[in-house]
Amino acid sequence: MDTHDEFAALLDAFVDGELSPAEADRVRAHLAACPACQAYVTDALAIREAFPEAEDTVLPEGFTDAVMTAVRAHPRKNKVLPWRKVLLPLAACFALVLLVRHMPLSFGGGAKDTASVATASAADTAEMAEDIQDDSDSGVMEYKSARDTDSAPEAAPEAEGPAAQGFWDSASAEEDAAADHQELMAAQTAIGPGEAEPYFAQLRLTAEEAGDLLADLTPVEESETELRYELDAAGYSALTAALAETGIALEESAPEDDSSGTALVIVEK
Amino acid sequence: MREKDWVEAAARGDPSAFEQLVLLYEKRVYALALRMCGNPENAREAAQEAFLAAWQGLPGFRQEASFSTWLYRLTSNACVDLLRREGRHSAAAGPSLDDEEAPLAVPDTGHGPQEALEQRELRQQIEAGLRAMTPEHRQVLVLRELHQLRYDEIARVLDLDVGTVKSRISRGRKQLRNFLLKTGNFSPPQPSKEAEKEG
Repeated sequence: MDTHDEFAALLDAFVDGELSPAEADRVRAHLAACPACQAYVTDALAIREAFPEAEDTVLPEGFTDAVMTAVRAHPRKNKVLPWRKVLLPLAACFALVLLVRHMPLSFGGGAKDTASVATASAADTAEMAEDIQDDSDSGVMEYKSARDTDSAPEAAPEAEGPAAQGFWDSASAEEDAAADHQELMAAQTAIGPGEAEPYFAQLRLTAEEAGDLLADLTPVEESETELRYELDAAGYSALTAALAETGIALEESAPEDDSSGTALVIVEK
Repeated sequence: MREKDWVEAAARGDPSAFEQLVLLYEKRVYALALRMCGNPENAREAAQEAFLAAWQGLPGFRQEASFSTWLYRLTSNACVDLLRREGRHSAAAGPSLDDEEAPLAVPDTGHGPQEALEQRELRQQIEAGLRAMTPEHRQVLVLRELHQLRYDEIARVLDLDVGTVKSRISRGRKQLRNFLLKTGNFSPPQPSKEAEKEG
C-alpha cells in the first residue's frame, strides 16, 4: 500500500499528465482523502492558470528584422553533406585506381605500358581485331563467344549459359572502369602485326569450360577476375583436343609453327 | 504551407521559409530566453543567436525531435553561452531591480475587473518568483508551464535525463509555491470542506 510520501512524490507528474491512467486514478483516490496533497495540486493548477503565456510576450522592436538581417548576412558555413555524397564517389575513385593498377595487361614479353594501351582508341582496336581475324598467317587464334562484345559475337553454342554471363559482370560496376577495361581487353586480344608478341595463340575460357583441364598447371598471373596460363605448343594442342571432346569448338587458325612458341590461355574466374 | 514544409524549404536554403518559422516561434523563443537570461537585452541577443544557429544547423536537422524542441534547445544553449561569456552564469539566481524592467503584457482574460486585476498581480508575482529561483529549476518550470513540453522533451532540450527533469520540476514548483505563499499575494482556494470531512 502506497504511503503518503509515495503519493506526494507523484503529485507533480499527476499535475503534468505524466502518469499512466491507472496511476492517475490511484492519485485521485488519494487526493479525495488527503487535504494536504489536494491543496498542493490545487496550488499547482492555480499557478498554471496564472502563468505567463509565451504569446503574450512583448517582442523588442525590430526583432524579426534583426534576425533576418543576421540570417542573410551569415551564409551557411559548413554544409553538412550526407556521407554518401562524399565517401561513395571517393570509394569509387579508389576502386577505379585499384582496378587500373591491377589490370592484367601482360603481353608476354611486351606491353606492360598500361598507359599506352589504355589510350588506344576503340576504333583502332576494332580495326586491329578485324585485321587479325582476316589474316590467317598471323598465327593468332581467337575464341569468340557470346560474351565478346568488341566484335561480332559468334558464339559457340556450348559457350552459352554460364559463359554468356559476360566478362564485364565481374568487373567494376563503374561504367567508366568497364569502358576502360573493355578498351584494354580489346587491345590485348587485338595483336597487330608488327608488334612484338610472344604467343602464337590466345584462348579465353570460362571456369566451367576449363574445368580441371589446367588444374595441374600453375598460372603465370592471377587477378581477381582471371587466371593466365602459358602453354607450349604440345600442351596447347592437347588442351584444344580436350576441349573439342567436350564439345567446345574453337575458331582457329592453325599456328604457323606449332612446335615452338607459347600460347596464352586465360580462364575467367 | 505547413511548418514541416517551411522547415524543409529553409533547410534547402530558402530564407523566406525560414522567416515564416521565425514569425511562428519568435515570441516563444524570446519568452524562454527572457526567463533564462533574466533581462531583455540578453534575451534579445540569445534569441537572435538561437535563430541564427537554427538557420546554420537546419541542413543537419534530422527531425528526430520536433522542430520546436530543437529550437528551444538552441535557445537554452544560447542563453547558457551568453551568460557564461558575461561571467554571470548564476546572475539571475536572485531578484534584481533591473529585472523588473522586463515588460510584461498581461492580457485581458475576460474576467471581471477585480478578477483581472488579481490575475495580473498573480502573474507578476509568478514572474518575480521565477526570477528568485535557481536557473536549473526555473528552466524546467518555464519549459513545462510556458511551453507545455513533456518531461522527455524537456530532457532533450536541456540535455538531462527524465529523472532529473522530474525532480527539478518538483523542487521548482515547491519553490515557486512557497514564494507566492510568503509574499501573500497568492491566495489559493481553500481545500474543499467535503475533502476535509473525508480526511
